[in-house]
Amino acid sequence: MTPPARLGPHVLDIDCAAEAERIATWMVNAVGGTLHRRGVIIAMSGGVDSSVCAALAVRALGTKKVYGLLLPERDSSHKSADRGVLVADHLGVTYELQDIAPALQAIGCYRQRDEAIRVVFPAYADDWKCKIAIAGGAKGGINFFKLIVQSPDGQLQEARLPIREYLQIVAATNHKQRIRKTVEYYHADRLNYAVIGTPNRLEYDQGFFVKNGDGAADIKPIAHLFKTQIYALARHLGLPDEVCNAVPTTDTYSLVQGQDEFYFALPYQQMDIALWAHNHAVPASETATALGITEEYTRFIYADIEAKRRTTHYLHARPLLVEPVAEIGD
Amino acid sequence: MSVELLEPLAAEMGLGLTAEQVERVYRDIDQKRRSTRYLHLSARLVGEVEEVPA
Amino acid sequence: MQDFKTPLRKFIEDNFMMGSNGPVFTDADSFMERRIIDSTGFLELVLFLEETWGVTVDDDDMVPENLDSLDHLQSYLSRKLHP
Repeated sequence: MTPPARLGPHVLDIDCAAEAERIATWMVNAVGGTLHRRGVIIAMSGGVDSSVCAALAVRALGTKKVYGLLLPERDSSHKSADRGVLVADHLGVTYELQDIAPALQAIGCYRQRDEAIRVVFPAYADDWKCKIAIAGGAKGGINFFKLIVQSPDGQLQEARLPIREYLQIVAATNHKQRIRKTVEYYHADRLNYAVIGTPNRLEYDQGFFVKNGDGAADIKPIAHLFKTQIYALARHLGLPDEVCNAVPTTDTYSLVQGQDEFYFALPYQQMDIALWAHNHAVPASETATALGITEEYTRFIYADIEAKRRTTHYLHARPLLVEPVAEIGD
Repeated sequence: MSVELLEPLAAEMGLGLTAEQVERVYRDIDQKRRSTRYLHLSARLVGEVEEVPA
Repeated sequence: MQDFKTPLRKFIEDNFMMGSNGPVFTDADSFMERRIIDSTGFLELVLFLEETWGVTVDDDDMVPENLDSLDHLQSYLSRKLHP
């Protein structure tokens, strides 16, 4: 792809009316034509991605063919469920709220996570809070993960996570996305509906999802759109201000964690442009100027984009077979 | 496979089925392949994300 | 001088290359550039260093100059253990 004449936020401009119409038409064909389902399930976190997907589904299929699920757990922000209800009521969709904390408790999610945390911070207790942040790579070092905890008196502590504890915390936390998907498919099965996945382009491209968790879905209506474009669609579709103005978080840990703390190198507005620029072979020097960062950091971001594509390729891969089963084509 | 060949084949395999029954099984196999094809599909996208191989 | 490269090469071949059937790499080859070790792999490597030789790999030590080739690892461990 040839670089544009000038790089800036305008490269992400879309015709929201045309795009909404395109996605709605596509969804009718995908759900009814390809998948032969009667409607769609949408888990609504209150975030802009799932809210826009819900709004597009209503536009495509009508409120009667869209079933919403609000699936909070112990570490979810209270605001998430409130915004989810706000959006569901705004759109007029039927929805159900199910607290998945008991299921997560039963499967050992919180216990397994806290076990690993206590290897690093033995005093960690139920009334403490935690999150993980990535470090090292952005400063030219090798990536590692820091565990940050907060005791009830507000004191913060942090330490590098050893590999076993890091993997155990991530694995335990991944239960959240997988249990949510289990609930979504229960309703999909009983209603004969398709399940919507809500990754945006950055998340889809960079593997920011849990395999067979939020990565599982029958349709992904916004996987081709940058977050910036999704916010534009949210405003175009008339979604509530609380959704259109919310800052993206992972809503997975008890301490508020930005996606740029945990996974991405920049906040989404800049990361969208960086990804777009990299895809269009824009020289690092030009991207650096557009983003107000150093050329060295831009080169790191470009390399990081490629590294994440490589290391998360397996999340998209279908199961490997010894040999093709010819009768089951793709 | 033609119906004329099915019956002796079914008998040879000890299936105890008539050719017509085997035909029905074949149709059922094909119908299940069609109706469960979606289980093998990866998630449908509006537009290809070229950087992620399909 | 203590040989760290031999046990390190074996560790890398056993854990990241499923035995020695993977790509051949020299002592000077960058693990990152040759895509032999990914970011999770470096954390496993750090654990191996700490458990095998009792060193503490500080946050500031987590740089390619210390960890990103057998030559770099040999120098790094020599400095840590025989200052």
